[in-house]
Amino acid sequence: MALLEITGVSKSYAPAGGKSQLALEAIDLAVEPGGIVSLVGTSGCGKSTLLRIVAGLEKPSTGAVRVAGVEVAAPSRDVGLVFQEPRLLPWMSVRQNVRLALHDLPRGEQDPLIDAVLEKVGLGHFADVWPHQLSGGMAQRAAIARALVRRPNLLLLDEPFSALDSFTRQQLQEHLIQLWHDGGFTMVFVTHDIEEAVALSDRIIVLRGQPGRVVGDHSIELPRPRGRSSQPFLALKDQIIGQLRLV
Amino acid sequence: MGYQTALRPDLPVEPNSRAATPDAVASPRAGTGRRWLTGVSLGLLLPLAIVILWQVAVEAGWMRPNQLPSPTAVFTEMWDLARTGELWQHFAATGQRVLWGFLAGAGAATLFGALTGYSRLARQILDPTFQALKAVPSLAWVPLFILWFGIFEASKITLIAVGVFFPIYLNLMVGILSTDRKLVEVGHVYGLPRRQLVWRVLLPGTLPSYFAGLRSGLALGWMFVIAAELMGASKGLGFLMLDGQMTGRPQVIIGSLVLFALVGKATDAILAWGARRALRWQDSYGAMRA
Repeated sequence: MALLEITGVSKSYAPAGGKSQLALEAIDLAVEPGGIVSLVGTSGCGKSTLLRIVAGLEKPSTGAVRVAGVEVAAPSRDVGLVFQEPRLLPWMSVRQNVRLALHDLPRGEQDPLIDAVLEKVGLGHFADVWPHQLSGGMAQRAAIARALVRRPNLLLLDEPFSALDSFTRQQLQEHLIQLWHDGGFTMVFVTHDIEEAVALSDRIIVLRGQPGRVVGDHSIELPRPRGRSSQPFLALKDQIIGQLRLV
Repeated sequence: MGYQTALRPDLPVEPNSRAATPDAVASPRAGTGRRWLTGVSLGLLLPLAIVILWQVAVEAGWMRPNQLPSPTAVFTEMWDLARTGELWQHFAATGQRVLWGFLAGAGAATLFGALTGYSRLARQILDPTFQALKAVPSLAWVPLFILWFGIFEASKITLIAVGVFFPIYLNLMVGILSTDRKLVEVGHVYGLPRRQLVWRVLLPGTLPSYFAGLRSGLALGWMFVIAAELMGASKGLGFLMLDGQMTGRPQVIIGSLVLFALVGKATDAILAWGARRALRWQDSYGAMRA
């Protein structure tokens, strides 16, 4: 059974006093457990909206989303979400921020989980630091720790590295692959960076248009780690760019 | 960068220039006491210079003592008043008025500010009226309050409370309205129950604005207590000033002024201290330089 099933999902917005606008139309998608799937598309094609619907932050206008067979109605602890910005609460230390995700566990069970996850993302020594004392990359690591501390089956990431410089971005990409490799969760991430998508994913879904529709679905079997200048890598990148009609 | 070796070498962290090392975070804030002392000393320089100049001016005969008595004359007069216990009575009367007025005004402002901040409906119903009332010069309430509450404590405390109310009300409402929607969403993602969402996400974000409101409210409280006491009182620092004027003792007027300045500054410092403690997480220029 697919871990994530999106069936007939469309989403329309009605701006105050305006005509309702369709952001997504008739999206059907099934994601098997274990892989890394990326959603790429031009801006405004509704890829972030789709992710927010999967996360339970927004309701689809039609259709349904199921995670592990259960229809998504609200955010669930089985699904982790990392935003484009770290969104750490500035008045809480890194530890307290991660603790937010564990608010329904007894205190005694929280700390070992927090220590373990912070160690894993390389912030073991930064648990008691305020968010403003972290660099952008470290803050995003803390956000990833907060999303992973519950050991979700599905981790969603909404352009998680787009605000970082390219060096930090590549480090975090490699680190994320490592976490995924060790963690046994399924990852779905939204990106507009096609190279990032080809470097990370097992499968790339291409969305295009307004409203957004699926126009491409690629499996990638290149071994990891992937050199970014190999012939198959560049060929795939070109193919996807073609589908987005960027050239 | 000793801490980097503690991490996996293949996972270098990328601290920015302000990023804290664990050592810096763990170490006690050494030197804070000395820095505080330096700050206080620097702050006392100007008042001290003024007092010296003032003493010289009076002794040199540039000013007439019946208009501007010397600092020593002011001090002697206030010391005498303090020894008989009279000063303390005036001081206590004024302090109590400000305290109760501030508590009443701040309490009401917190209640209504929270209400209009969180509820659109409450804001639509209440805020226009409050904004209109705010436009009434607060001293214009005096005749009405005397008519309603008499010339004793109730009318004075009400007047102070009215003065205290508006800045706190406004700052709290604006603080709540400007809460980052994205952080509230984080609360939703992790399924925070409503109570925790208020206490851990909404409330802390409004604190900077709320404390700013409390401080300007308190300043207005000290301002209004004078107005309240000048409108008729038998005790209080305002009364003492009036008494000094009637009996031709400028040293009492000046002494009361100085007392106002001191106690106003002291109470503000208490609030400022509370704000600093509650807002340690802020990454502001002021916090960096505190």
